[in-house]
Amino acid sequence: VKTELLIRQLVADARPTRVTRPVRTRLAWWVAVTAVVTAVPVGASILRGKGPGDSALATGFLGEAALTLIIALSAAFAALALSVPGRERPLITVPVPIVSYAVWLGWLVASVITIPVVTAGTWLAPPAARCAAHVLAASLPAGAWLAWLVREGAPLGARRTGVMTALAAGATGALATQLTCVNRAAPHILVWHAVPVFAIAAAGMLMGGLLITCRSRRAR
Amino acid sequence: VARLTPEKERALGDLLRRAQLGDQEAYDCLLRELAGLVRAFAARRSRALLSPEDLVQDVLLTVHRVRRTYDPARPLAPWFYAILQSRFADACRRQRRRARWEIQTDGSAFDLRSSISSAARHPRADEVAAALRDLPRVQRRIIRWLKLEDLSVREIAKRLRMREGAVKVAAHRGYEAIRRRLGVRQRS
Repeated sequence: VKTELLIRQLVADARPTRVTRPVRTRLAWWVAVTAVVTAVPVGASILRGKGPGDSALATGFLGEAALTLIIALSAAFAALALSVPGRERPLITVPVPIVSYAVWLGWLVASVITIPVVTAGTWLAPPAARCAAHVLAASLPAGAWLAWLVREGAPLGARRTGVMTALAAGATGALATQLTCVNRAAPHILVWHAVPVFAIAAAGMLMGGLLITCRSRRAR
Repeated sequence: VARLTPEKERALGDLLRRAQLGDQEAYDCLLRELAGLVRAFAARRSRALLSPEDLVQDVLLTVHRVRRTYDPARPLAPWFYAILQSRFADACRRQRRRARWEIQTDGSAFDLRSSISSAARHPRADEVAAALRDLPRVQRRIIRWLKLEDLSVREIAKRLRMREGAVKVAAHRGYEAIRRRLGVRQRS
């Protein structure tokens, strides 16, 4: 196709477009809807007597909750910023969620190291895999809603955007799980809460091209 | 990167804002200006890029597809150059991938006319099959086993209870007969 012909075709196809909403507006929408969707089942679980109980006021619990919240919010912001060409430049966009996740992992690993005896039972203590399933289940609506908002823009880097979207979803799932989980042991949280978040982020990187990007075949 | 002057950037931003509202004249102007910028960008990277016009078209298509993401309150340059850099990186990646599998030739090495005439000299499959059918039974079986079933001369000799040398001679005579039948000249 000659460029001249292409320009004529594109001009003929130029209809009025709805401008993508700003990153902050979309982030506010994501936070509001995700908070409601996540709070309902979590609240119901807490009312049924599940949850951390008195340990909810412990420094470790609050610190971990704050970290997962930071990961979720900063990753969601990064995903939405990456969906607008030219907005991905600020250095803060991508490193903050990754560094926060690394701090969370480091904290958990340091806690595991200080435990005098670690046996197989320590890693597999209940609710074990049920927590991983809960992280995944809680991350799905948050991830789907964020992916929808990201697709409102036009991410040029599908993998980066996919990782950030999935990381935000996974961290939301981990936060919801943390609020209903009765096991506060560091090995349990490391294996059944933090590692699933990593797995979800890795899956987001692999599937980013399919779910997030809206590039047409022709443009590729 | 060929930088935009602030005045030109403002003018292009205004054109894009009008294009978002459906103004086709403004959009036509904008695409032509952007095509010029991409060409200037590609010219500085001519060594990295084999087909600059492909990059121009790729960028214009992307601009068309993502034009809704431009915020008129913001400068145009970061938005446009992010698209340009991304498409340039894609083009280089595509080119590298292609270069890994394709053999680059210059014009003189590949003569379409001679390659067509050489293809025409090759007999068709049905002609070869007919020539094979006309061979004596032993020669036909030897050639079929050698060429289609990949058996060794020794295996064929064992099957036919012949000496290996005799199998080779029979195969050679069979090839000769097929060549004569198809009118193919023997390679010297």
